[in-house]
Amino acid sequence: MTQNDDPSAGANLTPLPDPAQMAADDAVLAQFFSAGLAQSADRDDALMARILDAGLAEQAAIAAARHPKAARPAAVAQTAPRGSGSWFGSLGGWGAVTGLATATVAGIWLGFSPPTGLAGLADGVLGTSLSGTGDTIDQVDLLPTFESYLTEG
Amino acid sequence: MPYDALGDVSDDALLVLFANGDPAAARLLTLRLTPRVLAYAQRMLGNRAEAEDVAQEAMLRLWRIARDWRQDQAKVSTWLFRVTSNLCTDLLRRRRSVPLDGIAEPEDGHPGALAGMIDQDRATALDGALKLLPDRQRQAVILRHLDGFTNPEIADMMDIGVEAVESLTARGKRSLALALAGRREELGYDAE
Repeated sequence: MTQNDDPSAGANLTPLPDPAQMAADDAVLAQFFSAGLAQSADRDDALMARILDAGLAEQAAIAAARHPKAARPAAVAQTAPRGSGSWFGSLGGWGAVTGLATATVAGIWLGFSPPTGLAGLADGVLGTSLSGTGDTIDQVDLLPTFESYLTEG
Repeated sequence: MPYDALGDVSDDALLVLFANGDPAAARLLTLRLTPRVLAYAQRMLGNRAEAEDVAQEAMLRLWRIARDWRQDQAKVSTWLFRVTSNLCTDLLRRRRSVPLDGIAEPEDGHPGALAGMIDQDRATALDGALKLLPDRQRQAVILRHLDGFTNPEIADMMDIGVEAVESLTARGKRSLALALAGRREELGYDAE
């Protein structure tokens, strides 16, 4: 093992210089350290740009990891109109289709089970009597007979 | 947050802003820290291209740790220099495993002896003398006297005790003083 391979190399193998010697060394080195500190670090714009680009990319990755849903709306918007959704949307969406379904069921129910009084209402409005004929409201002829048009008068 | 408003913000707070997506924090951290780790790596390795690779890798690791950063665990600069130190150590170990013929000659940045002792010359002379130190001594001296870390911070970075740091820096400075004293004589320093 060389001295450079040993993490403690130079730390414990030989005694420390005496304090007077250390002070003398500091005096010799002071101007060199001062010069080293004053030396402006070389500015490497290309290196800085590469590092900054990597940093900005990492920021985007962090944001995507923290807010995964924020990155999805575009994809959802693209998939929505496909398939059966196209005719469904042309009817006006869920709200309109629900209204249509309700009206259809109500019409069927009225046909099978007319409310009480509807027959009397028909008598009054249409001038046709259902009472005593045995007809139901769905059997009333609402159009005059063809002979009616042949009557002179 | 506006870039100008971040001038006085600590590195640790900037890293939190970075993780929260502030691009100004990314720019400022890059500007503040990259030159420091680049200069440190260059002093440790004595090779510009390798130092750039190390500086870039260290900064990328900082970006990646940002989302999990806990402000109470360490200072950003301490953590970053520790990573940079480890990367440099790995490179130096690999370099020693390469046959000597495969090693490029060290860059000789020393200016002419008669050029005068301006600051640049002194700094260059210091860098040349630092290259002569064992890795751990060089690391401790640079971190203490050129990057301004405290002995406990250096001990944390190097995974050794504070006393060991003091010993490494004292021995390193002894060797530096001997090397540079010779140059002072050669260059007529004593006339100052």
